[in-house]
Amino acid sequence: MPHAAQIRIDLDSTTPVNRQIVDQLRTLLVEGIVGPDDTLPSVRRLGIDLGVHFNTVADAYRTLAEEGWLEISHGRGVRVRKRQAPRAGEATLQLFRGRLRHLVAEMRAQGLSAGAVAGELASLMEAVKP
Amino acid sequence: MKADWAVSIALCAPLLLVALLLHWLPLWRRSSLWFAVTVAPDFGNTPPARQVLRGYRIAVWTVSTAALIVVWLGLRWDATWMLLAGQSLQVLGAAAAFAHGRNRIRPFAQYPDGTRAAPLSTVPEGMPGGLAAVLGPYGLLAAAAIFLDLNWQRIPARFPVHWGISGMPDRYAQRTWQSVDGVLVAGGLLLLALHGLGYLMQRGSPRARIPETADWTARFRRANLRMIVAMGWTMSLLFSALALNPYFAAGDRLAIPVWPIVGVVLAVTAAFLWPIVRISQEPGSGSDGTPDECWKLGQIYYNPNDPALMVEKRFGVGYTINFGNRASWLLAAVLLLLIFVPLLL
Repeated sequence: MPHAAQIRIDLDSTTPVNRQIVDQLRTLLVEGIVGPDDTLPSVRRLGIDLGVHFNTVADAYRTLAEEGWLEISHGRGVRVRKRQAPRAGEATLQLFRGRLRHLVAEMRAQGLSAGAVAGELASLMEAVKP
Repeated sequence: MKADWAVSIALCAPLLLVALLLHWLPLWRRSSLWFAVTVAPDFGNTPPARQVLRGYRIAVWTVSTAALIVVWLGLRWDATWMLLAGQSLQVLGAAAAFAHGRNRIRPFAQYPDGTRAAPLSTVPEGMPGGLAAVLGPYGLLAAAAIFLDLNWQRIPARFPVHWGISGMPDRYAQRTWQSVDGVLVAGGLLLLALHGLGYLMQRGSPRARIPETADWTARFRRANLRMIVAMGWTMSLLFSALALNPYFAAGDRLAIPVWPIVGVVLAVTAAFLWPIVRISQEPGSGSDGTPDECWKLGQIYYNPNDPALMVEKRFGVGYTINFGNRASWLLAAVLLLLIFVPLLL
């Protein structure tokens, strides 16, 4: 893991903090910035650094553990697992197609051109390692 | 009590030194803090900011002058309680002046950005100098204990253990385990308290809550830890020298006079405090990521929603405990116990 890797949260955001932690960590995991066998800060360490309750961090770690990204063990901290991506079915595709559709519509409504939206999506896909 | 010049200087000089420290202390802060309130980074140069600083400094020198008069009268009238009253007057007066200044700055407060960051690094921070720098002072105390044990018969059967401000001994002890090695045990316990504080700082305080100031925070933390390591060595040398005094001293005098010892302690403190002060005055250090409303009187941090055990001080340099965290109370009690047990020895 690069030494400077960090997560950021916004306490003023309407998105719950545990959700923000999950989203950011998952992005780092998918992009390969945090990889298998890397260790993450303990629940206590991350809670103190961010100034949020330990339960909030524990909840975020638990969510990612359930998704198969993390292995949490007492005394040995939090370790990133080598995860096999699940086989996505038609229902999953439908779910994300709907969410993307809303997102693209929101981007266009904010004045971004179709080319800019396509460019953003392409560059995001570039960042994700196969 | 004999109110000669040496005694007067010995008791009044610390008051002047503290007054000077209090004079400068509000300027040793992050760039977005002024009198413990989150403000715009350049607020310190505005007329209201300078006005509050001026008012605080006038109050500090007024109470310090009053404290000097109380101490001086205490010396003249041989009233020990007045010496303590003078020192308390200065500290409490300055604290009140700071709290008053903070109230005047509050209307200029800026709501801090809600962005927080945390490094994902799990590399241990470690103490400057590594394990050797931490264990070395204990080794020094142990070496002194072994030396004294090997030369037990050469230690006088009765020797002075306490000296008055005039330099003459006012308390003696017999050659026993407690009187010879007690100083070293006390030094060891104080070292434990000091290193415990360093450990709490490392493990219990945020590494960098504000993303833009992560580098500044890392350097500030490192400078504080260096100070702790340096004070550990200084304390160890001091207590070892005190323990070895009965063996090396000729008669009732200290083997090493008091003034060089005080000079060394002050020099080491100044040498390691100076980098902390330099860092604290750098621009771009922002705020510390703690809410203004949790700073009682600008000095006491009480935030039950913050899991941090310790946070950076907003008045002065270093770290303070989070009084809103029960674990902090417990740890502070253990540290205080380590500090006060030596007094009972």
